[in-house]
Amino acid sequence: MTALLKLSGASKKFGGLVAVNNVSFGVEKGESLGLIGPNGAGKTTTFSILMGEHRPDSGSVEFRGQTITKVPTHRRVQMGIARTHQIPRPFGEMDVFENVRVGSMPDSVWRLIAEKEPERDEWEIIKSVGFGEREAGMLPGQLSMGELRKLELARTLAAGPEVLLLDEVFAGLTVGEIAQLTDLLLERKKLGMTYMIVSHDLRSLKPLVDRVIVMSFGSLIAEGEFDDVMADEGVREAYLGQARFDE
Amino acid sequence: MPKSQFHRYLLCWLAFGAFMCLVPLFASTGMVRVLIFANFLAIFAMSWDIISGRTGYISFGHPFLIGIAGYTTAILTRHLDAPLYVSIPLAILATLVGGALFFVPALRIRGTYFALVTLAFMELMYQLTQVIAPKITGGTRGLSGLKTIILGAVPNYYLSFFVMFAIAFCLWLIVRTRIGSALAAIRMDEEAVTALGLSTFKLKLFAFGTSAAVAGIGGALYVHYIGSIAPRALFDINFLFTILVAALLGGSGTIAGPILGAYFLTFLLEYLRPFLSGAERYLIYGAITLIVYVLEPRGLHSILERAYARIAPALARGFAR
Amino acid sequence: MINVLIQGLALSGLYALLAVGFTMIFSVGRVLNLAYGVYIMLGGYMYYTAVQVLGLPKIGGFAFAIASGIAFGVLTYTILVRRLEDNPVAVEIATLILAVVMQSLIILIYRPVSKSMWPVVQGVFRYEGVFVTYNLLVAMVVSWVALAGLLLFVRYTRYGRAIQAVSMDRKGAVISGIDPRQMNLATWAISGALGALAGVFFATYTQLNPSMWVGPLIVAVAVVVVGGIGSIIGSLIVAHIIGFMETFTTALIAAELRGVFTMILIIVVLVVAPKGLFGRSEL
Ligand SMILES: Nc1ncnc2c1ncn2[C@@H]1O[C@H](COP(=O)(O)OP(=O)(O)OP(=O)(O)O)[C@@H](O)[C@H]1O
Ligand SMILES: [Mg+2]
Repeated sequence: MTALLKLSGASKKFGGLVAVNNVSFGVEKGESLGLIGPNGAGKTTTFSILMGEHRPDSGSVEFRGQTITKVPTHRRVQMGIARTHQIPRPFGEMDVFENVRVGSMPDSVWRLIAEKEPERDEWEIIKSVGFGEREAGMLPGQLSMGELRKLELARTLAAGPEVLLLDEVFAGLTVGEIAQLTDLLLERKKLGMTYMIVSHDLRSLKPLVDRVIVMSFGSLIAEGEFDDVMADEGVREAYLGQARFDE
Repeated sequence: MPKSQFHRYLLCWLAFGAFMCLVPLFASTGMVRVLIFANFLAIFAMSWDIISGRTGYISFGHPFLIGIAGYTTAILTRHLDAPLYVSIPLAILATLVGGALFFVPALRIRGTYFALVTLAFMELMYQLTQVIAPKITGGTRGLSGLKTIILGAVPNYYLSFFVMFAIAFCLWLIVRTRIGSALAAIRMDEEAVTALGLSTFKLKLFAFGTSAAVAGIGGALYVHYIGSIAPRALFDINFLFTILVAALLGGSGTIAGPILGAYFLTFLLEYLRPFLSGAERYLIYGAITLIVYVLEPRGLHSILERAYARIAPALARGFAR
Repeated sequence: MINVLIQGLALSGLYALLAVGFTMIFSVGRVLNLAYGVYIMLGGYMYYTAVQVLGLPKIGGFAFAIASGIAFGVLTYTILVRRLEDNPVAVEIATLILAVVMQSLIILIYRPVSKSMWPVVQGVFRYEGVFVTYNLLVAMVVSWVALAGLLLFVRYTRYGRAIQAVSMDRKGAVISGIDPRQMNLATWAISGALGALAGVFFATYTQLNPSMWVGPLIVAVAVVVVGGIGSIIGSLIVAHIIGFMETFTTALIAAELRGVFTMILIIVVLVVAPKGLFGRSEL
């Protein structure tokens, strides 16, 4: 089976620092792939390469068997790949609803002006991440970190992705919010959504992923089922002093 | 936007339009002439605001765009004796081309540097018009005795007002659709807009094109109103300053703001004229704008809006009683 | 030809001094101070007032000019820039407005006419077809001395190194106990002083008039744009590029076109290499 989204031999340097070093992996349709690794391992940079926000120094990105290494970011989003940001980037002067609305906009000046948009979809998405009418009218400055993450997710969902790259969705969320989001993500997964999920919260990650890959210092060091990877000596080494995951 | 709010705004526009149509009935000729300048300034400030107030790409080169329009139509009518209905559309077209020139740097440069390039464009134009082909451009002294569209204060008032009003109304209809949000989103976080699958290239191109077109219309009509054109009057930091100040003082990122700012400035000038002539007015303009800008970057529009939000419930209660 | 070279060298020295204050603010505070040209104008007018109106000795004139430059720099920062600090675009707009305000103030006080300044040093240096005013030569020497002093200050004094630390890595500097606001304030003061000092010579080189701030500002902008976020050395190199370009244009093509190439340089560099030809690439 060929991968839906595939990274082959990608490398990216920042000055002398090799942030991503010859990394290859693939995500299959409907699969949910965890991406873990200690701080600075290159996870976010990998996402940026997949999204085209960083050009890799070498290597290629494929989507549905088509090479998209040179395709600009907004085109990739239109093709069906989208990401959330590790540090949420809401549009600060717009309320939650308006933020989500930007996510659902068509990429056509004419349609933006002339079409009356159906607001139903936006409401559905806003409700699905757990916002109510009240939150929909709030400005990002009034939201908690957890709510900002939900906004980031809602806005990205509104762009209608087929593959969703989630960077640290759980950080700053309460247990209840994590459970709620897990349900939402699993529900979407049943409908065919493909995920790549970066998280330091391994316990919350476990029920969501079919498989994980581990990065350390820019390189891919392990790949496989969640429990197998956790038992791996090299992975333990990489994480030593970073986090305990065998609680 | 809820329906009722839309209708309320529409009503405001109509009331404003109707009132301004009646102004010549009771205003002196002097006042009418003042208002003509206010209308032109409002057009320029709105044009500036479409790029800078909305998308956050600060243009310090708007006089460059206005100047292209002005010089094109001035040269065409003066040297080729072109009729106005030919020269003015051509001038607008030329401004669009000039705007495209402007746009190229904007593709690569964000933030503070963009303003610098546009400033350089303006200064470049100032120097070039004096040196290159002074026979055609009139050199440092410019061209004067240009054709006028219509004669008399009142007809010119109506012309300038209708053009200004039409532009404002069209812009308002446009920015209250989703494109308004999209442009504002670019100002807040351009990369995040891209990450949501929108081509910021297209959006910016639209904003720049619209801005250039508005500047072109304003510029072309303006030179045929005042009848002359000169480099120092156009490609000048003081002119840029006036446009900026009108938009910022009134409230950037809105339609009513720049109009408000333009009228406010013009009236300020009119009332201060007995006390202050010439340079002093820039001092006053600038000082007021700096104070307002530091205290409320969104300008008078925002201050008035907040005041209204405070008073409105009280008024409603008053009526209910 | 040698004449042109010497002229170019002297003018470039002056330009380096003109630009360095502007570059400093940019590299420490990451904001563009478009009111910088006003420091230059202020320097010229204050020197003129002290020496030609009040009849003070030249030293007094310099002291007066530099003191007012420092005062105005500090005021700009505390009243305006500090309030808008996290937003470079707002600072850019506000300082441009401030510049026009100051221009009008100058017009009010000194009338809009041009005034010519006596040269700081009389006389013309003549040698085998080389003509340079002593004034411009002195300007060049003062400029070199001031720049060398600045370089030593930044490299070898505690205070200077703290300023440098803020310009390289603001967060890191904060962690090591440096107050970036204080460093910013110091930078604005130094920048005001350098601007005013350059202004005295610039005014004697051209003329005093209320719109004289635009030209030097454009030169300073060009130096920052072309040099990237500047090391002092980088600014120096670019100041020479611009100085020579202007001198050659004046001598070989036409004096009116002098500024045109500077403008084209700004546009081309920004479009082709937005990060500057030299220097680091932040912002
Ligand atoms: N734009 C950049 N310029 C320079 N260095 C960068 C840049 N982006 C990331 N880096 C560096 O590249 C390395 C990998 O960063 P990355 O953000 O991809 O790590 P990460 O795995 O997402 O870490 P974290 O768990 O902290 O989010 C880090 O050392 C980081 O400092
Ligand atoms: Mg990361």
